[in-house]
Amino acid sequence: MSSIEEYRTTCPFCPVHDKLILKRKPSNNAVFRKSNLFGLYYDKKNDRGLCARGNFTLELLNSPYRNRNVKVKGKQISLDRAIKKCSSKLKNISKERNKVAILIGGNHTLEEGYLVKDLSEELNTELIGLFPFEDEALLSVKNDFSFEDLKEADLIFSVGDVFSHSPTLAKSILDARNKKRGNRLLALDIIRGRISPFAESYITPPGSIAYFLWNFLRYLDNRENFELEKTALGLPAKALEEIAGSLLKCKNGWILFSNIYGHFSSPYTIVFLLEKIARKTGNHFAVLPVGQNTLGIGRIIGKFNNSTIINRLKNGDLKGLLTLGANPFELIPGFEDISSNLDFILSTAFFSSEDFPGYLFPSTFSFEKEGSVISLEEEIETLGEAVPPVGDAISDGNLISKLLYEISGKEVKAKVLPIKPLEWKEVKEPMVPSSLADKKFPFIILGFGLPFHHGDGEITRRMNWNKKRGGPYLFINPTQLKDLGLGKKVRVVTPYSSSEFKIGNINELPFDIPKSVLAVPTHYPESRKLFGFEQDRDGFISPGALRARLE
Amino acid sequence: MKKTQVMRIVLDVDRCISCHACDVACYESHREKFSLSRANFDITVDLPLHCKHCEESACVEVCPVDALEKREDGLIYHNSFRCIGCLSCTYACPFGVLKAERVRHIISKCDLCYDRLEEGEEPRCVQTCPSGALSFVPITYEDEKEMGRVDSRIKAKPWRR
Repeated sequence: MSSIEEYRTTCPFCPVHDKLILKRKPSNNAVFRKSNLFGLYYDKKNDRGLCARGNFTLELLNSPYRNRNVKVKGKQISLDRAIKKCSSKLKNISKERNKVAILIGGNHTLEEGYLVKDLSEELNTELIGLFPFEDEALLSVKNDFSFEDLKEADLIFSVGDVFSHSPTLAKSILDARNKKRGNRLLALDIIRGRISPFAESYITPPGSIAYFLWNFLRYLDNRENFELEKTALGLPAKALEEIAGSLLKCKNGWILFSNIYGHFSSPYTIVFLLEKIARKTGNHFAVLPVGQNTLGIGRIIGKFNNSTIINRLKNGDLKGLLTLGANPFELIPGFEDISSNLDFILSTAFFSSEDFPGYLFPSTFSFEKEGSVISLEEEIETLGEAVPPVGDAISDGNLISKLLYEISGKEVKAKVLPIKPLEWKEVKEPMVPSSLADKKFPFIILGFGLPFHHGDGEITRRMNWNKKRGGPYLFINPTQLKDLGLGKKVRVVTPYSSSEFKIGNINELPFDIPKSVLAVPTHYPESRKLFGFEQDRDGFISPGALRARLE
Repeated sequence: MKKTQVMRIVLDVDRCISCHACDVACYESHREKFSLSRANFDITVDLPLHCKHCEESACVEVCPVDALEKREDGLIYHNSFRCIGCLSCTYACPFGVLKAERVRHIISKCDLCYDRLEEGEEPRCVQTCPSGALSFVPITYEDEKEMGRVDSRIKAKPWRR
């Protein structure tokens, strides 16, 4: 009987990097799926276990739907041949400046980030984009985070739904709140989320958080002569006073920011203001990105051109697109319409897509490659190759090295540069929010996150309790739903696109949705495409709540 | 005679964030059988509900084929080879935690992850719970009586708790 090997590694789904153990038999390289052998191990970080997404790690790793071979328009070809063909095509189209764009994900390793930078130089382009798009606004923050200190906090002020996006922080946060009488948990958001029942919750209308925080900062500067009533945005006038009082009074206060696609408008302004508020009140400030290593990748690349890439795609100015770690048809809203403008598409993805019009390489999971990532505490963590990649899958780093070797004919040695936060740029005063809705679009639609889905939901949908759900779902205020007399399905139209949704039962979620608001989980591609692809006032693609109507 | 102290899974409703991590851990580790029930109180809260492994267990009493048996350590063990899917136990269970599997139409129930207990570890749902709502603690019969007032606690709290 062969021995069982254990690998201590980290969960790849969020930046908290929870610890887990993978066990496998070396004889057949199989990772044990049935999990008498699947375990977790405690460490100072998670101190507990994994969230629902993390528990499905092995299901994703062993998924029968995973892409195992390189495919061109659905037909299988060998890895070496595909790399040769891709490099010769890339060589041709990169003769002109900025004709190729590269989109890199926040789940890549730091080494892959350096290699992408080298590849862009070789391909004569400066067009590098980052996804998840909402994370780009967070890269100027130097995270002041410590798992140990968080448990000792006497005040936690959460902007956004931390419990939905990073559920494994819930224990530390609740431990801190319950530790001593007088410890407080405050939550500021645009709907009541998963954290709200546990917190003193302040809800402002969609699109108004930046304006609220701008006034909050002004109030901190001049508390004597400030007209509270004019700026409280539907909250009791004393909300500013209460939050400010708590932040100034506490000794070990924390401000946490967590965003997701389609939720907050102007996240860069929000982050900028929160950082200033934290400094002014002498508290810690940390952001919780969606990607596992967004903070590292973002800081290595330094400058992103998401909106230029999208504009050029729409105008037909681009000849080639490389998306590393995601299928562009699921990532970019309306890509079906603009993909015909491209001569060459290369993508690395977990799941195969039969009608993909370019080169689709099988992507590796973070357990299947080596590298390093930056943790929430801004420390570098190394990842070892716990299991060999499935089929022909190679890591994006290896793929880029091979492409670079074919294109330039020399071995690649990535230049290692210091990793530091990007420079802050000043923000403009947020506009006074007026209602987003109008006669043509009487509803406001916003995105929110669920902790038990991955990607498009295919993974956790295999659960019994999720099978009956299917999707995509739209959630609406139950009273308004009754009044409108809607059927089981409904079409949502926004200024950018339209999609059909099933009506979800809001009582299944710990959310509370106000009237005239439609809420959609943003992991569904149908939800993402509703939000369009426009730059906000700070120059980022980070759509917030939008106008919408039902048909 | 009541046992003085037993190890049981206890839920702190003030900590459950309804993330379903316990469901997933249970499902993944029990050969994709679904052993945890959900409790809906006033259709506003979604909480995990475990088999209580009752001292005087109605499910064991009614089972016509002895598929459910009480072990010496107090654990109520389900033998799936004996179960004929008559669902008598689901009607007998006062907590409504026993449910039939969708495919085989027999019962699947919490076994307290006895394989892990023998190794000195906690049940999987307890170990995975990210908010610390589930704990595996020694309780007495008197404690158990005190813990039964979940519904009133939820009603007493504002909004959803």
